[in-house]
Amino acid sequence: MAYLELKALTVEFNGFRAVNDVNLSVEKGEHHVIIGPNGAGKTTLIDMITGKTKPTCGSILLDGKNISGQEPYRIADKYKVGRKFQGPNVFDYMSVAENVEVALSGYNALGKTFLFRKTKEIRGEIEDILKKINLYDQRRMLPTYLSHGQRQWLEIGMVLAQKPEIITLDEPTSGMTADETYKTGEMIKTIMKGKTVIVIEHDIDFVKQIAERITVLNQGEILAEGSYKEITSNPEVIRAYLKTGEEE
Amino acid sequence: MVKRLKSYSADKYIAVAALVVLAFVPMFSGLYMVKLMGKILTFMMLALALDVLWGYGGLMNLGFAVFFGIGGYVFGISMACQEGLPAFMKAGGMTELPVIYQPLTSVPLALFLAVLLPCMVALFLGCFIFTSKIKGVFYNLITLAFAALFELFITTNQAFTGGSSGINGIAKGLKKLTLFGRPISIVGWYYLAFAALVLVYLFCLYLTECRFGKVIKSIRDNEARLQFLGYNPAIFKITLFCITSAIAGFAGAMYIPMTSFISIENVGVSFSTMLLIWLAVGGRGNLTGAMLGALAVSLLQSRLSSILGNVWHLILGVVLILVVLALPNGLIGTIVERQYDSRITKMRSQTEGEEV
Repeated sequence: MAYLELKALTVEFNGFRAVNDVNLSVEKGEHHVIIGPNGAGKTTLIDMITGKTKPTCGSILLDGKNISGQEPYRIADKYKVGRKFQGPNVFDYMSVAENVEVALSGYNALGKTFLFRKTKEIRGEIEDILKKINLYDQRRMLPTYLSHGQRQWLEIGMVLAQKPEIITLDEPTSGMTADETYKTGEMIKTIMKGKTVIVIEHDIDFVKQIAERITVLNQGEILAEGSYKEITSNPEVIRAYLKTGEEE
Repeated sequence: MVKRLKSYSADKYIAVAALVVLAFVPMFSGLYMVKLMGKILTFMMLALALDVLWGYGGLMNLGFAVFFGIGGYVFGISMACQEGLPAFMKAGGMTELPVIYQPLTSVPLALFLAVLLPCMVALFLGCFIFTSKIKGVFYNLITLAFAALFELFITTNQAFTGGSSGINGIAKGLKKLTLFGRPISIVGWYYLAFAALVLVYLFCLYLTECRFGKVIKSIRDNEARLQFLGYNPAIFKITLFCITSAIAGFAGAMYIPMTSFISIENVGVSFSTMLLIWLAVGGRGNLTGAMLGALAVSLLQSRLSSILGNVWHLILGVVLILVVLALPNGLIGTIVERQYDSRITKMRSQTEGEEV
């Protein structure tokens, strides 16, 4: 049995099936990329895994336990699922370092937030993350002063601070320069090595850089699944997605 | 050490300076002024509590004076009960102290209840509001309606609350209180309130700067995001509401010795609105701003209302409009922002210098 299994997952919004009967398995430690045209249901799929949206039917098994329909904070805290939003989505009125500090896992219970002490080890942990995401020099700034790409990195840093078992990244490179995109790819390959990572992405070079397996979604259904080579040579995928991408 | 002192933001210095000045008030002013300033000290505590709730936690409350009022009424009624049955109860047709007021004859217990009761009311309201899907303007309306209800409750239960004429006979009870075997003078009460304000300030400082503070700021800025970091926002909001309501209740109790009187003027909708004005003028999301906002507006109020009567409301309105238009972050908020901007500019020019 795979580490994360989506079984017959379906969700309807006012009669519209955004995701229809999706079956997907992700192995532990796998870097899995989901691609597909706009409106294919990619973000909705992540919404269901992280608890933001409750599935209409079907189940989500994480390590054999059904997590579908649970509250987002439980899924994040108990089942160690981290999420980077399409966005980026950070706290604008706290410094870069404080953003990482709030995300740090293990001190989410009410009582612990009163007694939390920033010890040397915790300080070191935060600095370590800041260095990994290239924002150590900007640690005292408010995120509003950062570039779009740097804000994306900050949110990746927050997800790392959560020490998740599964990391979901929704378009981590949107708004980045080619150089930043490449750096982000290397970041994912090195610091998220061994973690189960699910990424939604459009940039095909980036997909090639990081993907171990790819799932193509189209109109809420799975169109194809396989390695980068298999996907890029699949005629159906080319017709539905890659071709239109090239025309743009 | 010098570097560390420099790294503090300007508002902390302003707060310390203001507190030092307040410490010397009784030495240079008459009894009337001491009473007035003592009353303002309790308002400053109240402003701190609302600022932590609204400025830091993002939970605006249009009826926050209710909690100040509960604390004030509990302690005030306790004082009025010290010399037998208070006049307002006799006037209401009572012959002996009602059972629910029996605990209030003990002063320490009354003080404890003045803190606990607002906290419990907040717990009840908080559980009701924050675990349901009530959000945004509907939440604000509930707090407003709650203040109106409380006001109605006070005015219609004359025998228990003194109705619209308020609680009288507090001074007699206060005279019986002693500290270290001596009765407490008005200057003594002033310094008690001053010490309380310093403690409340330090407590709020800790509360807003520890991890709990960072979590409530995150709730204010982006509650949806916070959930995905494993926090349950409802529990934090309820706790914040309870803590700040307890502080407000305590401030209400400390208000009693300064005026020897409490009435619906200090508990209802219009006083709640006044609190919002304090924070708007001083700058919310900043403890110094809250304290100085309360201080400045209350001083202005007492000066202007003695000269102009009711016309002073007009002047207050003009001041408020000017502050909101010219300094949307309030007086202190603007200073802090200026300082932060200049620091960032300096930091940027430094790092750019290194790159070259």
